[in-house]
Amino acid sequence: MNALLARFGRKPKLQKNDESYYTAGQLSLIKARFKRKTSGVVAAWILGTLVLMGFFAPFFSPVDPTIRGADAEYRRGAPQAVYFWDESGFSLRPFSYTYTKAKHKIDMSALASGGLDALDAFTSSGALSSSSQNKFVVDEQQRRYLQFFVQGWEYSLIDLSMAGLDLDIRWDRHLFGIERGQIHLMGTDEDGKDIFSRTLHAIWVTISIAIVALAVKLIVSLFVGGVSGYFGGRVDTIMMSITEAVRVIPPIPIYLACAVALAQIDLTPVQRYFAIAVVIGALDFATLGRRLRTHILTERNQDYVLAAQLCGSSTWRVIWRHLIPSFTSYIIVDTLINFPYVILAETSLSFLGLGLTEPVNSLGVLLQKAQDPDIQQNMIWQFFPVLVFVFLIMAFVFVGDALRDAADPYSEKK
Amino acid sequence: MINHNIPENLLEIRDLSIDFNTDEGIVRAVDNLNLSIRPGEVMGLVGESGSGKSVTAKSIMRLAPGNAIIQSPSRMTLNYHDQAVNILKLRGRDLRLVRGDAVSMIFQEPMASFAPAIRISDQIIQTMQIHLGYDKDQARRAGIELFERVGIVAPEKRFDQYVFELSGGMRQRAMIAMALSTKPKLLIADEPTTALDVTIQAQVLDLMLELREQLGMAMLFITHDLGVVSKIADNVTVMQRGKVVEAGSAEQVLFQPQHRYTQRLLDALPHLDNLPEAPVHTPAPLLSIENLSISYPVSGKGRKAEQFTAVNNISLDLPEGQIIGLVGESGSGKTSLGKAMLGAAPISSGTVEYHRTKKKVKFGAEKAIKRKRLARTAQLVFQDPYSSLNPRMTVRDIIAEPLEAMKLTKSRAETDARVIEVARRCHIEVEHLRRFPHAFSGGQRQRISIARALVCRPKFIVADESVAALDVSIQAEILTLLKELKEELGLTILFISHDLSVIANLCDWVCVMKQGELVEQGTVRQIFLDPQQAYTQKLISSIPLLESKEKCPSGSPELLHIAERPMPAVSFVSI
Repeated sequence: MNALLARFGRKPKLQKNDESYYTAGQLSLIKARFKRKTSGVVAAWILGTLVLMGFFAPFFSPVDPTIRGADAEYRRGAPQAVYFWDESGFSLRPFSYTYTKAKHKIDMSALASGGLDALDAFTSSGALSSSSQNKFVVDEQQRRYLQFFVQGWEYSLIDLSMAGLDLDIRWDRHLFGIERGQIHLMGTDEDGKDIFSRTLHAIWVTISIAIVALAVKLIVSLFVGGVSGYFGGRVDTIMMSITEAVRVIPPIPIYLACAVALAQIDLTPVQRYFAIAVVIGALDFATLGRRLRTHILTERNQDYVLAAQLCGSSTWRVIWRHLIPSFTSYIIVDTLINFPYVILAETSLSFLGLGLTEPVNSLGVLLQKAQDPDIQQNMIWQFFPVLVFVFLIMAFVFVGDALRDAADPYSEKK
Repeated sequence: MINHNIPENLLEIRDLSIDFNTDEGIVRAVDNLNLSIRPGEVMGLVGESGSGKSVTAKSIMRLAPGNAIIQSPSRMTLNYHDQAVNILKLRGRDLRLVRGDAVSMIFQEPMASFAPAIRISDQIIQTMQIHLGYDKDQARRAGIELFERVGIVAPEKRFDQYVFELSGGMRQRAMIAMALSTKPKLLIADEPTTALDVTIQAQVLDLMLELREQLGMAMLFITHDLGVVSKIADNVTVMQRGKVVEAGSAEQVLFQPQHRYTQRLLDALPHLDNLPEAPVHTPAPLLSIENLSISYPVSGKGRKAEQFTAVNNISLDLPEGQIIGLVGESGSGKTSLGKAMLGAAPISSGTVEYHRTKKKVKFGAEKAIKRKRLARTAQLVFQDPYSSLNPRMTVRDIIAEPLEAMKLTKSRAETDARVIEVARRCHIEVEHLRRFPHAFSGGQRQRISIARALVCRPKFIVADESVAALDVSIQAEILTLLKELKEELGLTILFISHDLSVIANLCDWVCVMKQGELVEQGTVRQIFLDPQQAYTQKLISSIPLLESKEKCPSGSPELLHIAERPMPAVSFVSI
């Protein structure tokens, strides 16, 4: 028995005579099924970590990612490694070294005397070129130790003032920092802004756009699918024709048109940000709307709905108690599976330069930067956001995939 | 005659164990099954759902579902042209030796077994091309011949039709023709008549017997119906929860059953010699139906819509405090009539009137009824115990739904008290009220469904094929419950069924419907023992009853030459 279970790589499951299985509701059934898919569980942990780090980005960031926190002394700087031990011994506390910018030795007198060799050396030293890598000298004798829960710039941990609530928790502690100066785990960009901190902040910006977009999408598709499915007949025909019409228009030109239109209006970055989310969401309702319609059409003809009607339930009660719970799990799954696509839409818009732009931190903006040949040649560490982006998308895809399999616990129960 | 190198049996299954990997863990579906089928023998495999009979059959074709694990040391040996072939070891193309060449299968639902978008002719011709190496014309001729042989009228026309163009009986005949097209040595029939109406079931069974005699192939006939088995099988194997509980010749198993389980299955058969006496006086009607017609739009929209008349001008009184059976084949309009009584079908003319209610309840084509008023008087118990319970609600919430929806109780405590009371009455354990429906089997679910119908204390219940999806032994439990409820609560029950044996066991009064019309009504005795109308007589004579036949030496080649089967002597079971 155990060997067999091992063969399938599964943990012993709920036993049949276990009362908890019998009294398990929809959610706990989904959870139990979800847990059996290892890839999904791993992806869920990665996703959870990334989202959490994104949401509390200021706390996890050692450096202020805006221009205020830019390190003028460490522009275009390479990632600063963190060590536990070196030639001078082991340290429980991780440390880094002191970096100082290498001064280009310009032999003015030789230049003045017109030595060709000196001119040669001068041009090849990179002092004249703005695009080459800055040279930094690492002083291995001067350790700088990491510090935890350090005081840094003040930020809002949770800010709900935008939602009209008077809640704005401000804090100035950060998970880690370093003594004497700043630590740039993933290096800096040409302004000296910390890549690691920027990326963390970008995660949440991107996800929150996706949330807004998906919320808009959900509302529109619930309306379209719900009305279409519940009333059927002529209403259904008209609604679905419109839906199909919207669906056949390729999305990128629409995004482009909307982005251009948005550029005409004078918007603050934040407003622009939400406008984009709404545009993405509103134009993407077709698929989900159609699916919801089909779902409602089939679910409406289930015996238990007729049973509820014969029990004397009002239409409202039938919808609220019986129909809506039947597709909440479905909506959750569909939304999660669509997350990566919405994020991709945002990033592709930003990538095309039509969405968010510098200095806003969003994954799209950071990805757009990564297409610069200067960065590809001299600041390869600016590809860090790409890596995070790939992880994020993959995590969403895997979690969504596992959830889709787990979401309908009643499908096999016949 | 017996060559020692040649396996004596056509199919020999030894120590077959199959496990299922499910949500609830590993479940043993088949446990140490031994079964052998000789050439020309008809083996009846009997058991209820979950007994493992279908999985066994499917594993012979190596068609068991993906989560089924066949455990060692299972062995399954097939005599293929006098060579012993281990079916379980076959891979890839070799599987065709079993599938089609040696063994064919007939499934329960013929509609689902044919590809819906391909002509039947193409499906059969292709099979013959692959297995017999016929060319197209040859295969076509052979196919039409087969169609003729299975008794399809106008075979050349039918041969080129699509499956949806045929009626249920025709479909199953076509399915049989397809199964026979490869000239198999063994035909597996997995509940081939369960989805059919009784009259068609009788035809199909006769056909299979005839073919078996003509072609001399062996059959593994899977069913839950002992009446059907007695008609067709030489030997019978009875399975319960994956184990063989009894095996032997049909005579032996059906007339001298040793195991309690077999006896219980036999009890579920109709007892026509033991019908209840008619009540001395007919009680006053609870419900009167006058000139009721129901029609549904079939195609088109608006005024041009074509109407299908499901129920045509029926007048009927239902006596109070009795169980009234409503019998008819599929499409006879019995469900529409039942739903109309609950105000859930579009009445095109006529009225339904409930007597003996506090307020007058009368509705019809012109006068719609307030659902809430009706819901307290009349309730429905559904056919499918799975789809009729909302899987997302606990049993307590499901049963309490009418009370809460209509706000019949004042407090939650009162609701709970009512729910517990009705749960006890329906033999649902009170501790189980916290559970969700997925924790229950079909029979238990049907109890929940009945409890929900009863919780608002209605006078009248429509049970629409309420036991059709259940196994016979569980059917019996539910039927007992319904009888109990009638006795104790004075409930009037309209029991809709296509299954005459259930009606005979349960009802006081029977109505027979055919194509939307009421053919005949009367007491159970009148209908079953002295039917007046030709249609009723045909229905009654189609009931598969236990019949004894002369013991014939099964498996012997002489069997093939027996041209005429002895007339079955019908014997009524009385235990």
